[in-house]
Amino acid sequence: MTAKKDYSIEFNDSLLDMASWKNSRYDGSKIQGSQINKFVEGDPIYGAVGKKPVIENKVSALFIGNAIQDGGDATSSLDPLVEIKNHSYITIDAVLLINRETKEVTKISHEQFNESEDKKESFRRLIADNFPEGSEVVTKLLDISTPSQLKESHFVKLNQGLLMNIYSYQANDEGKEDGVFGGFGLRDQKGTLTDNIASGSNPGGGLFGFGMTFEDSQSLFNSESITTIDEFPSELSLYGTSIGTITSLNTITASNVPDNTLSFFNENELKFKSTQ
Amino acid sequence: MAVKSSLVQLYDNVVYWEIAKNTNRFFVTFDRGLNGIPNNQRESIGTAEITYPHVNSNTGSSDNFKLGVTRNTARFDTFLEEEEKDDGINQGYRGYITITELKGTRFFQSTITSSKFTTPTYTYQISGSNGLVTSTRTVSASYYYPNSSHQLSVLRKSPTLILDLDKANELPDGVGTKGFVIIPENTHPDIKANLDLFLEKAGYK
Repeated sequence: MTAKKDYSIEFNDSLLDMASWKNSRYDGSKIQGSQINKFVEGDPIYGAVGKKPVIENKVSALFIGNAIQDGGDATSSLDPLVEIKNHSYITIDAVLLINRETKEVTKISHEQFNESEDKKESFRRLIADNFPEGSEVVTKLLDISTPSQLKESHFVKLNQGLLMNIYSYQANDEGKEDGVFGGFGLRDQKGTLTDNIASGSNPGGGLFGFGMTFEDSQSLFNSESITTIDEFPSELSLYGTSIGTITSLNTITASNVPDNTLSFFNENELKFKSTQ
Repeated sequence: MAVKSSLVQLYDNVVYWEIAKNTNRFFVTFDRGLNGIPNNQRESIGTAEITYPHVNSNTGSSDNFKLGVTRNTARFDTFLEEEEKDDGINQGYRGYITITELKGTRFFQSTITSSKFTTPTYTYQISGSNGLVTSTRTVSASYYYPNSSHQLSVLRKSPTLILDLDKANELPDGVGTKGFVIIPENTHPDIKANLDLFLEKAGYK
């Protein structure tokens, strides 16, 4: 014979809506922030510390470098980097990882990450994660005997690597339309370009035009306005070392006979190179 | 082998092709990095990543182009708009609609363009089996327009930052023999407070 108990209990559901019931479980147990390491107006204020970021993620590392390069001259065919006025390329050679509890410092050099492509990528990601675009950094020389006029801080404009120049184009200063532009949309949607529509509250991809093939504009693209780099960067070694001299926007004019045999590269040569 | 001397060939055979193969990334920097919107990010140096023209011929599910070593292995109309492929001949470069796309949804504005954007109409001449075809595009030009001097570059992946550091003025004597330390914005306060200690432990002092 088994015993049987009756567990019929009456529960008032309205209790679930009482503040004293739900505060500790929901409303009072979590807060949300808009950004990491930054207080944004509208974020909750907690504790007695004022406007403090809700989520913080602090870096326990320092970054060491030896080389600072400027971009040289955009109109020179010998300067390999893109010229960005009043800006420099800062290369990082080592990371000091710091254990805040034990005060131990572990130095990891760039070379230690060079063993495989994965490790190289992880080093670059470490840089990109710790120096997001738009963030502020402080730069200090380690040799205090070297005089400098460094600003108190600088801003990170790009964290992906070096911009290796291919060509530079100097626009005319006579107000002639060359068809070069950056923008965000085709107004009339002719043709079949896709994924180029952006306006107002519907931002999308932008557009870049590198010239206008209308006869009157073609003459604006010449050896004076275009400076090509003497040697292709190694990233493009597949195409040989010499870019040649680009002296026009479009070599074939309307009066030329269509030529389907115009082969840009010797395909067999390229295949050979790619298998070496 | 040298590039035949035209920008159109460079873009079609090298730049677009490398982007399509996902082997390299290309950036355009306008007017030497001046006059961007002052937000201290990439836009402020007038630099944007470009991609290849995504035209219908290569975005349709049934007619994706085949990637190979060279551009010659792809469909003739891989990067071509409608008017450019009327006679089925590729790489003749008899005129071209020289527009491609910028990557992402960044701000496409500058301090040069007086208003948010302006709407120039561009004319392109294309010669094909039907003779000379004139085609136009009206665009919302807003990013470094006018005065659109620019530089095209390929990205060399490296642990490198571009900072608003004017080397000639700020470091006239270089960086010295020991190099430099860069301290990220979000460095832990304990580390900022004991910077010399940690540098000394690492052998830099």
